[in-house]
Amino acid sequence: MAVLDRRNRRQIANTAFVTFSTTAAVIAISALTAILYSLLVKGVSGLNLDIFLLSTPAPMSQGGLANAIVGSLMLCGVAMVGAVIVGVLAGTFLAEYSGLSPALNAYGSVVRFLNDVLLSAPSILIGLFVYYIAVKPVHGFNGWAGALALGLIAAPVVTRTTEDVLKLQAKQLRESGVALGAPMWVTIQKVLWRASSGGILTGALLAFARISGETAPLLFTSLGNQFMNFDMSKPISNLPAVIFQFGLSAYDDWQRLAWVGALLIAFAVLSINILVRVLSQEQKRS
Amino acid sequence: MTALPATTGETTRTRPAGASFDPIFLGLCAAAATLLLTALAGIVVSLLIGGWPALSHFKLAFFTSSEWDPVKDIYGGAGPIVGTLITALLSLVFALPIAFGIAVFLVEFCPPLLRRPIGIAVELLAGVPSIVYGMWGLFIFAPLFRDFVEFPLITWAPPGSIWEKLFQGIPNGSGILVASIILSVMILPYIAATLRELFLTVPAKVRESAYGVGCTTVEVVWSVTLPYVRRSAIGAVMLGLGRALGETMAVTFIIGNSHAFPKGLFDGGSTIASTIANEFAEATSDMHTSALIALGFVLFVITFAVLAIARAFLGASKHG
Amino acid sequence: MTDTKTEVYESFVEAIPADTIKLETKNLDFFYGKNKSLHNVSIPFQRKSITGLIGPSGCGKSTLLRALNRIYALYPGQKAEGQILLDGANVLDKGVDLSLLRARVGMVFQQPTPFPMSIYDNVAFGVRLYEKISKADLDQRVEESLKRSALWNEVKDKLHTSGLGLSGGQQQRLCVARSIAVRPEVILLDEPASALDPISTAKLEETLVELKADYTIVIVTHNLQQAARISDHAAFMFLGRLIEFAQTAKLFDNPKASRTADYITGRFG
Repeated sequence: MAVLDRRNRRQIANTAFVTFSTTAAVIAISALTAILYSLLVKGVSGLNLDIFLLSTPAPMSQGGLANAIVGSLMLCGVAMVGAVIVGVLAGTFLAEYSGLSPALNAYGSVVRFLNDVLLSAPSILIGLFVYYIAVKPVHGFNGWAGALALGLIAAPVVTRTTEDVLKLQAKQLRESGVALGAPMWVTIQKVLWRASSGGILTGALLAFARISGETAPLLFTSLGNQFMNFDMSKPISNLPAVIFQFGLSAYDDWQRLAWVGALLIAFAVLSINILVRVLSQEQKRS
Repeated sequence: MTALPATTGETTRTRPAGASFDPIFLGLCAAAATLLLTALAGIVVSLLIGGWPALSHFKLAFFTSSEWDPVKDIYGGAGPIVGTLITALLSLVFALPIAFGIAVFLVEFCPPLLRRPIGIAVELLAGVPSIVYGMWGLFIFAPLFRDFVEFPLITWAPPGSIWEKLFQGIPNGSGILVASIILSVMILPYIAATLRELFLTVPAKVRESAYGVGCTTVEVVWSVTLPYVRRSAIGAVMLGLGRALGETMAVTFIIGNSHAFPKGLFDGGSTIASTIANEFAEATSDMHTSALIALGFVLFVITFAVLAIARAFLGASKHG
Repeated sequence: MTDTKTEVYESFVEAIPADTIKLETKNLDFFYGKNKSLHNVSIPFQRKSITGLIGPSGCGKSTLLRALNRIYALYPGQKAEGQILLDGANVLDKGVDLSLLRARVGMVFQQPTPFPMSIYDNVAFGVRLYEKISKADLDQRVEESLKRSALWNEVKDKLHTSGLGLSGGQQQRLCVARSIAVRPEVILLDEPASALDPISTAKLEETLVELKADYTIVIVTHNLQQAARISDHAAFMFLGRLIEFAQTAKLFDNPKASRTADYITGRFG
């Protein structure tokens, strides 16, 4: 009898465990579904051509998000150019050069650790820092500062992925370039970067996805702009900041626009994420 | 100078173009690495310098007092600091069991066909921008929470009991508890993904031999998988905690933004990040600005400590 | 100075006519950090012939090969002492331009390592580094190299597709083509067939035998039959020392050192 009891207890414990972990997965899926569903319900009704043609309106008048969309693209674009240049070079340093001497190796470890710190530093603190170096000195919020803040968030991501994918390349590929007599930097550029381009692209896309939804560091760097503006030295509007401002406002029109903005950003970011997964799947196959 | 002729037989060779560019390229790469290092140093230094006036003026009271009054220019940061710690810890308490459940589900029970889509769905949860969580939390989740959780609980709580104290606050759908729940959804995918990867590092043979002697799944997970990954799992949890600490926008939307100590779970509160986001651009005085930056410095120290602990547990294994 | 160890590891080195020597090492020592992994190796490599390096793993045969084009210089802490003479000039001298040295001494690795570019660009890669030649000349050089490595017929219609799309054996012959396109004088091969199937291996061996008409070839192999099949001279190494060097037939049929005999009869290794 005792044996049977014990077996029963074990069975019950196991069933409870299966139920629990399945429920956990269901909760996660439901959360995602619920969020996407509300975005669609609240956002799609406000979607129309004006969103892409008109700038953000004053309360209770007609308008769209054109200035914010363009501003976000500009800020993220400039940020990504900088982040990819710095990130790829820094990642190359960590993967290819930090083994060259004990001194470089020690320096590499420090950079690697601090890059990880930067990677998980709260983005709002990066905003504060950029405020000090690029807003306060010129006495005004500006687009460059916003791009710099976003770039500082993206660069560590690119650095990390670049280092990781370069390290995945076979040692003999590196040696093959050098054995032909190619200088190291030519080997890195023409052979190693090219062989790692898929992975680096993946990292850059993920970084892009991350910064395109970033709000906090833009609040006191790029700020926002009610009008369409292409001048990076002036405040530039951006989707996240508009969502923040409009979402917390008391005006229905503004709130509706905030939902549309949230819908646009969420689907842009999620599409990039899915694209990345498709890309890396393709790479594994080839 | 070279002892070897460049020209042999019918072939005429010149040194590869840019052969001497190697040190310059190394220099460029090292400079980029240094730029990252400088940025981090710059963050620390600028936060310290900017926050110093407030820290040196209020001294210990900055950490112990919760009086945050821009009108009187008195700033005690205890409210946001405690708010940050409470929301982060609460969110961890909520997220951890669920993340663990998801990881176990994906590794042990999930039908192979569903493994990838469900895995991707969980990862997508991590991709949803913070501000979208904020909108959703404020407009969709908070009203539901108010009607179906806060009201019933407050009505139910027997007067004078610990429950009454715990459920204090205005039932308006925003507050410490709601913020923690939204935060937990945000950090959930990070912890789940890391745990799942850790579980997959347990050699199949080890798990199979446990199944072989008749263990049930729960026994395998508890007595084989978990002990195997224990150290790293703590690291994964700490990484999740680090995210929760620094999260800004979602929290700013739904925490209620009050600088006092929260009296109960439904009471409004603030975190360091939400306070900075709300007030920095409109700070009224230099001391106000400095106090906000000092808060930022405190946040940096906390997240840095958490990250350092996480790395110590995870080991430097990710980078050989 | 008498070293008891040199007594134990006495080298039997068959002399070859001095005027046929293309490349030779003299008293070569090699260090991985403080670890000495080649001891006083002196070995000649005959012009336009194949020399096979054999021995148990860890015996230093790959280390010796990697010293010959100074590829080891990529790694700090590795260094060679002694002499490596290419046409009488010491390649270990300080002033030697490593790029030009490697143009004259090519190398093919164990794993095929096609670059992530088209077949054509793979072969042209090295040429473009050193020579400014016309498109037509380059086309011709690529064709010639691919023909010599017996790959032309298989790839002539898809020169501009990725080199990564080829089979393992084709990739390895592409690496040979890439190497000879630079018109080196010496080709070093580090177990080039160990990742290949028997048919690809046979094809590669055939290619090498044809190439020796123009090149000095040094091949490291763990496959004794392969060494016996294609090499003219063979060197047996053990624990970082050269034990025996002789014409391949002599080394296999009538080894002078007992260790060589033990190894080739399969008593150890």
